[in-house]
Amino acid sequence: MTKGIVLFGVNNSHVDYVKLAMIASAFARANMSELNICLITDNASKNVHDESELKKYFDDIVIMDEVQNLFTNIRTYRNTQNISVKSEFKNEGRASIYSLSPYNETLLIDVDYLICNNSLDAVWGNTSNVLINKQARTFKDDFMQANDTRLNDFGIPMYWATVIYFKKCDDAEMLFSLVDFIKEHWEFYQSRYKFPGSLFRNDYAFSIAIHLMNGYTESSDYFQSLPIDRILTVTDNDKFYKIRNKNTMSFFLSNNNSFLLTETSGLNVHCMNKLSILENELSILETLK
Amino acid sequence: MSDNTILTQALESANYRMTLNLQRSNAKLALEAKLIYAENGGIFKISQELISFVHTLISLDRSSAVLIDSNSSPIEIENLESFLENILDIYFEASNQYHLTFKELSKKRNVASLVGN
Repeated sequence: MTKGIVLFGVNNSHVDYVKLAMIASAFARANMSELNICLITDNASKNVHDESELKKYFDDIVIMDEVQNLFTNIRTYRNTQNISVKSEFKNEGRASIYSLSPYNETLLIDVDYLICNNSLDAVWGNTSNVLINKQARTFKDDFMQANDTRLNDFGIPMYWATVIYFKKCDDAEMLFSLVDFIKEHWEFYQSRYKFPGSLFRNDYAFSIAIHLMNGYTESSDYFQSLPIDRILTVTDNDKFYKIRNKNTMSFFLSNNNSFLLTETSGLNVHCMNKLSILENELSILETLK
Repeated sequence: MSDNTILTQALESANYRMTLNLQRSNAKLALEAKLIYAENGGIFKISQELISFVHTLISLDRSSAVLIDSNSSPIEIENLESFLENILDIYFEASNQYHLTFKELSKKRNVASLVGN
């Protein structure tokens, strides 16, 4: 059985997702057991970087066909409350990862998920076909905003597509196919599940697909949690500050119009402020070398 | 002492307390991450309860058993003694590190030292 991490990154005019994938790969390599890492991207994003540079971080590179974008997915990328840019959010190819992943067992992680411990080594060979979390918390132990817990006040639970473990099997294939189907019928599912905003979000699509596969119930017996059952999140109002060693980082956390500084050691962190990660790319990659 | 000085000191103290609580909470989360153990397709959160239960099974001369993992899946453990040995090793290492971190934090009296600056 082959196993490995898959990172999905397609650049837009402001954010170099392939560079973020290199950073995520370097964190995973430094803190998990030896494993394969694959980048799924498009030609335009790949060509921004040297082949030799890419080979340092990825064992496999899969170039996907150009995705027919169904949405004008413009999102605001914030770097704290003070700086923001609007750019396309090219996340529509994610449902194709099931067929594009070269591994029998895949750990799909977002490029802004920084792995600083080996707890995810525990997923390999799991009895479940799919592992995905439905909780996300901030450092201050707050739940995320209401619509990050449920799709609406009375809606279904939100699952986080930030980290997903799956095996190549019928169940996982059905889940990813459903996500694709939901994406194609986004307006219908938005009216049915009443989630906010116009942005296509994989988190919502996975949440709906899981709800359908659970027979329209909230049962969590089938889609179970990852070893740590919540995604520890730094929002884009917060900021990556610096890296001290391979598993120690510090962040500025927004706090009543100012910031608190916190240092983490041995914690996997979903740092939504991608721009602040990229600001620190040189020091991160140098430390993780 | 003027009201302004008192207020400044109170705010500094609050900032210190919040940062200390964050660092303690981070240490607890790191402990939780270290206490993960996988065997035979199951994921176990190592706890004093799990350690005691496995020890009880062994003391009742059971060499194997089905344990319920953290996702409520039944997992067959063929060698309970080696399972206990492994989880105890991880528990001691993780709890000692947690103890060390906690002691270090309690000695630090300002925000800069709490966050390693």
